[in-house]
Amino acid sequence: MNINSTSNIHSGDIVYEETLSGREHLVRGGLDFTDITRIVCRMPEIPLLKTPMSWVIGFIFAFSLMIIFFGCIAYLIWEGTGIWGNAAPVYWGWPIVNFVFWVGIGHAGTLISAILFLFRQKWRTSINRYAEAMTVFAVICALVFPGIHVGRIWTVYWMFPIPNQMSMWPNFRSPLLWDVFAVGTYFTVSSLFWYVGLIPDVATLRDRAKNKISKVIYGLLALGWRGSMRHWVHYERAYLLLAALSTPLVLSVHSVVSFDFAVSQLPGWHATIFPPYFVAGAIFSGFAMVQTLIIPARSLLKLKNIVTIKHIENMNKIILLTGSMVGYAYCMEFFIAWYSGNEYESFTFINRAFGPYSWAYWSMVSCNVIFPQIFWFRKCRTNIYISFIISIFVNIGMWFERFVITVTSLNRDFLPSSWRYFTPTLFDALFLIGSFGLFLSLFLMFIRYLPVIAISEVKGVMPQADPHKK
Amino acid sequence: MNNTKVWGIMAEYSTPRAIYNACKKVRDAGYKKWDACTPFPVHGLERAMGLSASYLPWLVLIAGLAGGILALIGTSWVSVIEYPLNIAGKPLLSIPAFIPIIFEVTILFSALTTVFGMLAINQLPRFNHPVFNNTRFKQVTDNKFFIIIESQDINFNMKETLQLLESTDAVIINTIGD
Amino acid sequence: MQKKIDSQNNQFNSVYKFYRREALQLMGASLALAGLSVSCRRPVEKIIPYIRQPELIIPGNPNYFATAIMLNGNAIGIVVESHEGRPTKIEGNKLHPSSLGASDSHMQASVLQLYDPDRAKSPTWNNSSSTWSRWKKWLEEKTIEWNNKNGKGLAFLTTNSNNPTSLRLQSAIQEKFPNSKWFLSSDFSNNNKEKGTYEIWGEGTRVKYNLDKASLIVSIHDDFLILGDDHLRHAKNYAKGKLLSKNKSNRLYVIEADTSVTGSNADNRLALGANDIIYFMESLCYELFVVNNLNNEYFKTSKNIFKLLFPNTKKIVFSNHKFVKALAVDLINNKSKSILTIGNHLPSSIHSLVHIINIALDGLNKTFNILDIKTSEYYNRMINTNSFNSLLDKIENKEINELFIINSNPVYKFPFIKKQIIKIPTVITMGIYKDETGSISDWHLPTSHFLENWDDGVSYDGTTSIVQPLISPLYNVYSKNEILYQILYNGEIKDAYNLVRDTFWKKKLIKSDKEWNLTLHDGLIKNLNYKTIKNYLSIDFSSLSLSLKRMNKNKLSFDNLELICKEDYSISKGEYSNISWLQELGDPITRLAWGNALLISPKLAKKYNLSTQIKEMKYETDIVSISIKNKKIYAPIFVLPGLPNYSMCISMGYGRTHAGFIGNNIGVNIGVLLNTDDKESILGVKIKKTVKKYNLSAIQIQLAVNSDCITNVDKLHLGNRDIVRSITLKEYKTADLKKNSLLKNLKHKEGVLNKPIQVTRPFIYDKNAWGMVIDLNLCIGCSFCVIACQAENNIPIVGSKEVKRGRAMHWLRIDRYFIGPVDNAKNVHQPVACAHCENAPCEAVCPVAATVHDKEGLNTMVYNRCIGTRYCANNCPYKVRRFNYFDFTNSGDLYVDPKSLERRKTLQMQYNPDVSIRYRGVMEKCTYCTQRIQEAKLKAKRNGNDSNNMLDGTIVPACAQTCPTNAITFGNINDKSSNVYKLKNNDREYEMLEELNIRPRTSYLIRISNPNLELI
Repeated sequence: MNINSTSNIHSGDIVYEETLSGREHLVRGGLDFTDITRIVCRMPEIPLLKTPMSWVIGFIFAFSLMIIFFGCIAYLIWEGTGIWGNAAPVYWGWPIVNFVFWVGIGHAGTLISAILFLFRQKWRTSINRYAEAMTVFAVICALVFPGIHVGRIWTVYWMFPIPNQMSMWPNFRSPLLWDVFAVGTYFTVSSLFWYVGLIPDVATLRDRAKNKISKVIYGLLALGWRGSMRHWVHYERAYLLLAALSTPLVLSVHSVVSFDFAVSQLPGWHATIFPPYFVAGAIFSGFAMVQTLIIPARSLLKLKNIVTIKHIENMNKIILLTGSMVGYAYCMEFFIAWYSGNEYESFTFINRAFGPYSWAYWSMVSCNVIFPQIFWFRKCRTNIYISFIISIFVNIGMWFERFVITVTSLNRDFLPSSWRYFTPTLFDALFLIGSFGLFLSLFLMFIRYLPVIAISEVKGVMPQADPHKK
Repeated sequence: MNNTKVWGIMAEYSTPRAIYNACKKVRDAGYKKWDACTPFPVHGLERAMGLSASYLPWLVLIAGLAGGILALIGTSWVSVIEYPLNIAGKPLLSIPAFIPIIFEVTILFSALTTVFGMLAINQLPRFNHPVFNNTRFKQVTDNKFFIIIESQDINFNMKETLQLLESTDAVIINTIGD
Repeated sequence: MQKKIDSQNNQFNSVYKFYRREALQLMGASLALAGLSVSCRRPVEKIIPYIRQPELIIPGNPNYFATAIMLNGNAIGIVVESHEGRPTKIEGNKLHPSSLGASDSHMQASVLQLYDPDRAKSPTWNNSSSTWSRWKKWLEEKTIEWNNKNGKGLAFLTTNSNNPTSLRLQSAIQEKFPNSKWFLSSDFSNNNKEKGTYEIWGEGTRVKYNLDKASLIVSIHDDFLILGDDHLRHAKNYAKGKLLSKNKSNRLYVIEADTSVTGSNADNRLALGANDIIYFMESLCYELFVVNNLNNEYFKTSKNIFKLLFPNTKKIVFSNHKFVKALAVDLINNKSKSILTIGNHLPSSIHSLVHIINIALDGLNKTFNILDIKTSEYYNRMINTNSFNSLLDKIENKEINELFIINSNPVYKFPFIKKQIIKIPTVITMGIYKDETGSISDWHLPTSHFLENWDDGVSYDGTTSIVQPLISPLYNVYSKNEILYQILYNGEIKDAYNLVRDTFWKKKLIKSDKEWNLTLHDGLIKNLNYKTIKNYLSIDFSSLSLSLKRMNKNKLSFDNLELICKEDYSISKGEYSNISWLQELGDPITRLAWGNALLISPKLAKKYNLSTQIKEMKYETDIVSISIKNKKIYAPIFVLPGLPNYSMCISMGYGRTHAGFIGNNIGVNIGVLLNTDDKESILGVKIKKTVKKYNLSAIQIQLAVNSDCITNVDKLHLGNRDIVRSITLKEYKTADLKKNSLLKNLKHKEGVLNKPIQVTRPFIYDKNAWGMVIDLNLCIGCSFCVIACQAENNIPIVGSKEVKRGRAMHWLRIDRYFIGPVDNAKNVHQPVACAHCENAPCEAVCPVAATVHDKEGLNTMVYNRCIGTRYCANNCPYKVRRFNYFDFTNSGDLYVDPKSLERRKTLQMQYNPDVSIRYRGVMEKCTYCTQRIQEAKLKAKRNGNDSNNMLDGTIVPACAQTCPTNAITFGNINDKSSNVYKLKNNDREYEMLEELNIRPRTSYLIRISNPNLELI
């Protein structure tokens, strides 16, 4: 078709019916480069006043939640950690649960970008930008919680090894300090990864920009990218290196987060299975969150031809796999508890399943292990609605997993004298909801003003991108 | 536009295949100061242009090692010499406990070097470049492929170079003022 | 501040004595603020400099003064620590026979009472503030009236305290106004006890137990270890008899209608309703006198004695024969080494019965003495005092125009008499609080706290002490004696010091200033106490048997329930309601804080379908209506295993309406149901379930160590946790504890107990190495140490709401676990504080190294460095770390509202300046009283001694210092000669959770119970 065509309808609008027979192309409907550019750039190029209503409503909602979040933080700093439900013996409550939850979600992005990249999984190109953005925002949410959950927030910087006149230093043996390094590094690297990927696409926006402001902003972000082949050489190598670095990183981060629990000696925390178990769980929850976000977005942003049902199915497969791994971990915890012969350990797990928190435990198991099993059936894997619902369940389930680990282990440990049931306060709930506000606000800003698909990468995997093709 | 000094010549192609073949020709003609601009990395084009592989990995390796060693020394020095404390009856020098930090710092240094090293090598950010003067060049980030030969090149000769480019299936060829 | 001094000058025109105290007062306020200057975030406070440099005060060094405190009418010697004129801490006086160095929670907490902002600050007339001069004027007018009528219409309501000076002045008043009437306020007083001895030894006699001489102690509903007269001496002596050697230990039987602390220490316990105790006594007498025919020179023909006592007993109705038989045999075997003690509130005839048995067991002058108090100097207090009921009659007959109520609060105890009291034309109340009675009186005259003014007192065994003040009155108040003197000499003022001095100099009890100073220094007058009676007078068996016969009522059953109103362990009978420390202490048995509840047995609960469930963090329990005749109140219930099936139990002292900011409207006032002649156990009580629920706040949720006695909804198997270890003496003889051969007794899985090997080289502590051993065999669970710790370490109070959340701040807590079957469950107590583990789990996880070890093995907590991640607390297996979730310290004695900041102005004067107060967001925990360790080391340095080689016992933590049974031993475990070293090598020594290899410095000694094996 005519590449100079100025016709307003272009093939991005037509949705081709989903064919599932055999290996189909990742990008359907014989789109050409311009179509990809147009489809992806549509949203960022909509003028401010023509912003779609759905987006506006969504953003107002998310933004108000975010305001609540910051309001709560202000009150927390004013009043003290007591506004949460935390008490003895459950000294860590929802804030840490939320922290681990968000960090977990922040794993799929880098995983998709890095590991699938290293495995040359071409289908990743349609979703990786999206997932990376999600990662960065999730990690931002995660970073808030350890920051504010300490008793004296104004001294939290003492965790960093900053030379000071009292020559006091942090304790490098503490898993919390490992966290500071791990999550800090992870945030830096994943944001860099995301931004490096963005450079050529922002350049596209820059070149298509109509008004002055976007010209300047995109221009600055694009760093003067001009697609030079001499640049591409180093760029691609850098991207490969980042992928190679991120892969061990992404595995290490949630391992380190799991050390927060595993290194302590609390029955139910002190377990060697935690690192792999946490990593699997993180990928699990991460993919679920990608699903939750992309399924509505692909119709909202008319990306159905780029993010095809094939992608959804692939992600469901990964959800099924990791979900089963998590399920295996649950069983193994019980086995070891019994096998170790340690009565405190075994009690902790009996208490989890049948104690006062059994409701939390069983909702966790059903959400994480039982429900995803329906993905064994292709019909369910490839059904948008089922995928969406399951992804929601998995999100809930994974939050509960962290809750179960943190709270049920703490509330009944060695001495029965100090046992107490934990109940959250209103603020606990507000902080959780608020963090979603922060996350969604950032995410909506992203889909509004940045290319949600890696344009250049998608072009790179299109059939006509091959120079040797007749 | 001819009255101004010519910076270089820009040929525009509409398919990866076209620019691939064109690059071969230009390379064989022995040009050095020239470049190909594409909306996405066209596979094998760097070979067609006769570019060598990136040396970025070596920088990253050095930086990573430096980070790791720094972290090892830092943690040990603090825990043993600068701020020795009896913490949980553990030995002052408990390397296993420092490994996570050493690892993370290694990664951090490597990643930073990767990104900023890449930008440095590519001399980015660079917000003004002669090619931007040409409005058609805007499509380099959409669906057009360009070959630019700079007038600085020793082999550059307006007539011959034009002929060379015309011999490729370029869509449009025009010169870029300085 | 200046104003206060002026008012003092007006009051006191005597010289010199008061200059010193003015200065003290000045410093009191100023240095109190200085004391605060060490906190995580330094508050900016003005410091007032000395005006006059007082003698014997070196800033920074505390002074110690001996004085005495009155507890239920008896003086107990104390030593008060004073920082720059602020009394901050109360300890027992080693020289004093009824303290022996120990002190109880009330003594400890009374220092906070001194600074209570809710104290009455100036006289009030008809509830509107007035002045002492107006009072003087009023008094002068009245005196003329009284003089004319010889005091007719004038009446006094006093407690049976025996302060010599008060008694001197009272009797003087009686002489001056012969027609004046004197009444004793009925506070379930020792009437029974006195009648009991009266019937055998005649008037003015008193029993004194020597528990250390007894190898067999039988407590008949008597909580002698922690309540009542001479409890500290009892506890000490009881402990002396424990585990004298590897196969010798005393044995304690407890027959009780409630679940007392003494009961939880029993080797053999029998839960029995107070009403049914008569049947038990009957069958015990039968076993002793008839079956085992017990006799001695007093009772030749034992058979007759039973006939005389129970003439018309055909057969023994008491059900639990096994117990009585075994007990009787045991008593016979331990003749002259055994003693029966009896609770004050059991009927006097049972008292006499017990005395007879004790005499028959040859206990007289061995296991107990009879004190003769009528020969003493002050035995004039019984002179024509009338009972409380007669007062009410007199009021009805309008015979009383002016009633003085001295340190007594009848309107709270029996609310129904309020309407009678207000009939009196003029009621004058004296007391440090304007309480329920004060609020309806015409004149309320605020009196001084015992730490503020001169007074005197006599202990249970007649030891006389001078009460010397440590600070001049904070408010515009007079002492009780000063007011009595004003009444005596129509308003003339004489200061308490001279009043007290006169008492002793006139009677020639103290002859020289030297003696006087010595008395003040020692806190008691040497060898001045009651004589003992060698033998006994004749017994009027007929009247005794008659009264015993009269007692025979129908047995307890579901239709005939009894209610036991017991003195509260924390706040006594309401005297201490407004002291936050005690409100939050938590009952040693129920662990309930900030309120009381109707304790009922599981069986009774089932019958009435009542339950106490653990809902979320608190108990959610049913509310029942308790009704006696026409009166009715509503109270929350608490199902407590170990109670007799048909006895319900509720503690007094709650439901105050005029106690003050802390104590108002907490719990229910059982007094509403009572009549003035009621005893502590009341029959004919009906309860009825209501639909309402209530949340009780508890320091510890009720759970048992072993699963056969889980008392709440949770039926999970807890595994077998050897947290509290207890074995019987028989097992102890055979067991080789170091090899853990006791494990089979504890049904313990193999090998879990063996310490794991440590891979890394442990740190070497070659100089001082502080350690602690807690002997569970001696710990009676009284919780006195908790308050001592609170006073010493400025531990904040969090209030009911936060306690429900589980945020109580106690550094030291006494865990309570149930053992045995639910229907006859026993409690075990275990003090738990930071164990200063050598491999402290808390330290490894702190990201900022805020908790680290020092050279001497202390697990130090650096408040200023702590950022509050709370990770350490999570990782502490003992859960002894406490977190300041809110700004608890700076909100006074209760975390609530801005009002508490106001309250703090005086309360902060109690703070110990050697211990920094903690700011919001900081973790805190037991420090082994590190301030005392440092103090001792500095002292050693000053004296040129080696601070690394101090004498054992130079350092005593607050908890160990106050413990009446010396269950806590602290010292240097590197010092081979130290007690703690010896105990660490005792074969009973064990580390809690030692399988974790945390190497705690605090270890425990296994409890050795000595039950009668026939009863197991």
